[in-house]
Amino acid sequence: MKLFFHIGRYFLMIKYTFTKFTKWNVLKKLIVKEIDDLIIGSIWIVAFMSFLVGGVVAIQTALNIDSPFLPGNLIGFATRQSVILEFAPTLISIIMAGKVGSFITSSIGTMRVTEQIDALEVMGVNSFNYLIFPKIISLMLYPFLITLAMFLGILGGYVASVYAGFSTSFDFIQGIQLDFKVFHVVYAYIKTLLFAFILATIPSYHGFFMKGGALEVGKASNISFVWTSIVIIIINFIVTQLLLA
Amino acid sequence: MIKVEEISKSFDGIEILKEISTVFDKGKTNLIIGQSGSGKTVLMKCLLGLLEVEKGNIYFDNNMFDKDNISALTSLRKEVGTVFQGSALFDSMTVLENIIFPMKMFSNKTDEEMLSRAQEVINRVDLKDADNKYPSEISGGMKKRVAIARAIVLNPKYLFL
Repeated sequence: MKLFFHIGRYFLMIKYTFTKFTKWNVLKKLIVKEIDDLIIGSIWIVAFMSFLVGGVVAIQTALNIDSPFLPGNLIGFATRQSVILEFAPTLISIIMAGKVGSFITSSIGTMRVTEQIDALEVMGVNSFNYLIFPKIISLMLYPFLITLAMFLGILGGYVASVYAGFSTSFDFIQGIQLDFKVFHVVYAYIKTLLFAFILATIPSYHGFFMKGGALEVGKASNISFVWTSIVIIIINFIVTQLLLA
Repeated sequence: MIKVEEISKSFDGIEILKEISTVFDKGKTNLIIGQSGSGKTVLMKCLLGLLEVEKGNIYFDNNMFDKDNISALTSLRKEVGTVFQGSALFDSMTVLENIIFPMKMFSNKTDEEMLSRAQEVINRVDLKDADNKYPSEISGGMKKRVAIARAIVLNPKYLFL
């Protein structure tokens, strides 16, 4: 029953986030700061992970299709499909649940335990809008990170398979171009936008409604990561079922 | 004037405030004294609407405090200045930004007017050379002064310390 209480309170939080807006002059500075913290600050980890995991996907594909009857361009094709459909939107979002989600929960949670949120509320500021809305807006730029992850994932696959001798450059590039469906990219971006909303709101919820002191901030970050990941996986399943099945 | 009418508040079955009634008269400094854990902060948080009372009513100038009436609550809160026990300064803002914050949110003053008013309250709490420091870089006493400066910067009708 407690789960329903949390779900209800989460949706009430979303409702309050989109009511009684903070002054635009204040809000726009907050949005820029959040873009810097959440998006720009995540570029390096996304780039690093994408390149290496793309390489691993290509190598594992190559090792599993060691048959003369299979075309050489299959490595490029499989790498592209894996990276665009699943790795870039979903796996990167789970990594981001750890990086961005923990940051959001701990920063809002610290504000809660040090009474900064109370201070905002007694001033008459809608603390939901002030703290959560800029995070949602800044994470609407999240598809930019996923685009980078797609590009670097495939590049990583190319480098690993060509330079390790699993595929020729021609075969790999031909595989990337093989049977390309634009809808798969659209599907990936639909997922990405939903994940961005989840990444902004679930960690905010856990920070906003936490109780206790510094130790509980750590616990809230941990719980936030678990729940954000679970919801991402569930949404991933539902969206895939709806759009690709 | 703030009138408190038989308010009660409990946590996990332990009654902290039991049918408290009192009147805080206009123009007077009212002091609440009590042992640690007796509920002074709980009473203040109830008056501010940060905690919901289980029984009783609170009136600000004969208007009943209604937590569900968002617009009335917002306009009331603009008339309230509060200094929290732990100062509750915003970590990401400098001392000057903390003091200017309420004006940025609720006044139509120009940047120059806000700076001038901030300087006025900074002088009033005797806070020197701390404008560009962050809360983590100043002492506990200075934090309290910043919190007081922030609380009085909008000339509130009610000041809770």
